[in-house]
Amino acid sequence: MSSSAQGPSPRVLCSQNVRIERDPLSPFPILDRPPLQHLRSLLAASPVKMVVLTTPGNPTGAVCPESLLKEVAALCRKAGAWLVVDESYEHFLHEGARHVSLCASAYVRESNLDVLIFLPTRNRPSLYCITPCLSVSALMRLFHHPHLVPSLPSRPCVRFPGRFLTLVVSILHPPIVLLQSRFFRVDTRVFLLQVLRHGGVAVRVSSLPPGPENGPPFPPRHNPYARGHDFASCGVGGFGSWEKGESHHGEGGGRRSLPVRRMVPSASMLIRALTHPFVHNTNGNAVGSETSGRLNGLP
Amino acid sequence: MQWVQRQVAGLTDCRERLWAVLSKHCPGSVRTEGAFYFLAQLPPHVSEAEAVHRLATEYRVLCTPGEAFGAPGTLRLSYGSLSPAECMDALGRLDAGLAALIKEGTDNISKK
Repeated sequence: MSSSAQGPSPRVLCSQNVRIERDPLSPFPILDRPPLQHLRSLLAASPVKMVVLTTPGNPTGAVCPESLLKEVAALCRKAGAWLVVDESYEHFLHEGARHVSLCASAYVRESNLDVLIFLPTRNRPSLYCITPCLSVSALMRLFHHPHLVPSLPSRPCVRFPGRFLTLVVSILHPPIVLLQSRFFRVDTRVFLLQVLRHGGVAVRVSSLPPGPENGPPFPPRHNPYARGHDFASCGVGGFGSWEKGESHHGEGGGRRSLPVRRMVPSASMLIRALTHPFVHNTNGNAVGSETSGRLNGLP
Repeated sequence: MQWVQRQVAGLTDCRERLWAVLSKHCPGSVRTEGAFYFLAQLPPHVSEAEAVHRLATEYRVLCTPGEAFGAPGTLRLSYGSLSPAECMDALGRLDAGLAALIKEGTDNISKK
């Protein structure tokens, strides 16, 4: 186990208005856990909007212990940075390793941290289907809409299954595309649509074509927003991998034959979406256009 | 969930065998406990780009260069998608490929 936390200057992966910096894995020895000291220095050096942590990790396979996760969360909270934990591999543990989800812990509930977590779906067994967990307070903060608070679910931290990540990313990256799924509760969809529309976000609703993988369509009476678009015609702005049918997992997946609709955006795509300047606009509201399809400068 | 657990349990043998190969050729690698990857530390005299290219073209083993993850000098090897038979076959080729690359790298140093 390496305790070295110092590395070279982090590489700047993206310029323009946002710098995305990555923890260096070099010099070696390979780190088996996030270098906390490096995170401290990054947070202290300049304002940081978001920290993304993948545990269990890719490419290292490192599993972040609970104590370290809490330290990271505390640092992010102190710095006012969002913490995004990518837990896509939460069940891929070996040799008795234990994964701790911040979102599921009392720590998050007590501290009201805003945590977005990717998880594999429970009922759709795919290595690459991920399910996020978004604290509703984060959603509300995004749109500065306190009047909606009374209608929030009672739990401060809610797990949404299936395609919710698409919606979450789309919140920050219009056009909104809400994918219908049998795992997506209708009342939740309606609630989120209300939130989004109060936030001034243009919402375009779409649906996956019904099929064995996507489940049966909602009964018409439960599906007031669906307009019958199929996925291919939706155009999920910014998700090039989806539209091109390319897997961002390269050689590693063994799911290269996955249909396009089952691929998911990677954490890097989410970073790109979340750190786009329009998220930082002065009034805090996300503004999208149903007709423009994408905002200027979006990839 | 149960499906995932079954898949993970099925990875154990391949994981152990891959680690044995990496321990033999890539002693700087760290044995981690999550996901389905090992990040293999290449010896300093072995070029990462050449290793990726030659493993793919000569030994039919695909891996991802560590440079893509900010870790130059490493290879990310995935054991998440192989059947036991495929794993045995692939690991034999990986073993041979790494041995050849390291030997050639060592020979080149000696010549200089």
